[in-house]
Amino acid sequence: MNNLEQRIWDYLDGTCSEQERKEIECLMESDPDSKAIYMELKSLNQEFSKFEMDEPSMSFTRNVMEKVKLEPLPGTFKSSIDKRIVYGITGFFLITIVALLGALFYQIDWSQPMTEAVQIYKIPEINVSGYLNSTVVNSFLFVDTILALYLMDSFWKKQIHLKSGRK
Amino acid sequence: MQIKTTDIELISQVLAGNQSAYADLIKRHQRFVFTLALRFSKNREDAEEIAQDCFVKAYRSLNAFKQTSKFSTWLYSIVYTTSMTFLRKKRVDTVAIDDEESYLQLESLVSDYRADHVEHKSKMIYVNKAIGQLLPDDATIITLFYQGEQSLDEIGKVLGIEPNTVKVKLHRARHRLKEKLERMLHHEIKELL
Repeated sequence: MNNLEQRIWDYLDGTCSEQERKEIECLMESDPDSKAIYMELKSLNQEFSKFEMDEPSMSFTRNVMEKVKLEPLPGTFKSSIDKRIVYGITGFFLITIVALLGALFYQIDWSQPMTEAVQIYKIPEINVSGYLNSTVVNSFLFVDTILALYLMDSFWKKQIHLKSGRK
Repeated sequence: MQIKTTDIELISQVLAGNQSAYADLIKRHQRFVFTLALRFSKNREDAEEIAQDCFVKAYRSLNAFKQTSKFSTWLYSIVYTTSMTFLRKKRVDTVAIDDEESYLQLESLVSDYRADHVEHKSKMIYVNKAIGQLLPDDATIITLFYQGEQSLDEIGKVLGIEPNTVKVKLHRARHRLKEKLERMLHHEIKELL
């Protein structure tokens, strides 16, 4: 692409300076070839701005809205968890753990001899057989089955929505 | 006389919980988003999927839209990044200028053109076809500039490049488009325009 064409395009777009604009206008008045190029590019410019946009399918808006309905509202807590909050909570817990460990090590009496026997702690025995009778186990399994069915149902509903949205 | 609700007003309604206001935003921008996606995918099914994806992504991060630019500029930047990701995933081979298939397509167009006589053919059909044969980047810049009503600065924001680079790219894209039209219509272009 030659420099003159580029200057004429700038002139047509209105992106050239006042001085450049005057230069182009003078050139077009004095040089018929430049005027011809200008007329050609002007025509092209008009044609380029008239081309038609493509139309999506009739169900486009409906399909998008079906997908959108599955999303949480923008701006709600679920959709706007700031990373700084996550980092802040992580930092707080890290500092707490370090502080506790520091305090623990500070309180240890390091002067005690190494040969001294370490105190052994025994975990108290818990009798669970009294709590785990057949009624409890059956109830537990029943609730689990209901929850599994509910989760499967919502999962398949989502899949069907997504598939119908693609069609 | 009914006053048209602005994009910003519709966004405020959506953020206030009125989900159906988003449908109006979709209707307003769907043609352009779809056209832009089509510039990359070169096929309607994929373009539709990309366009749908873009609207869902825009909805998800609607509260992140800071209103420092036009909603359309922000939306088109989503379309651009989504389309680029799509291209990388699918590894779509873009039709090169010297591609054999491209020549075949052109040849058939020219014969079609001659048979039906130039005066009965719409100029727009050829411009549309020529844009469709451009590389995605060129076609995107042309589409954003002429149909998206985006300034050079705004196109720069969409594509993540400097306005001066946009200016150079736009000049090149227009030059290639002119060449394509010339090749497509041979000598008749001067009569057509």
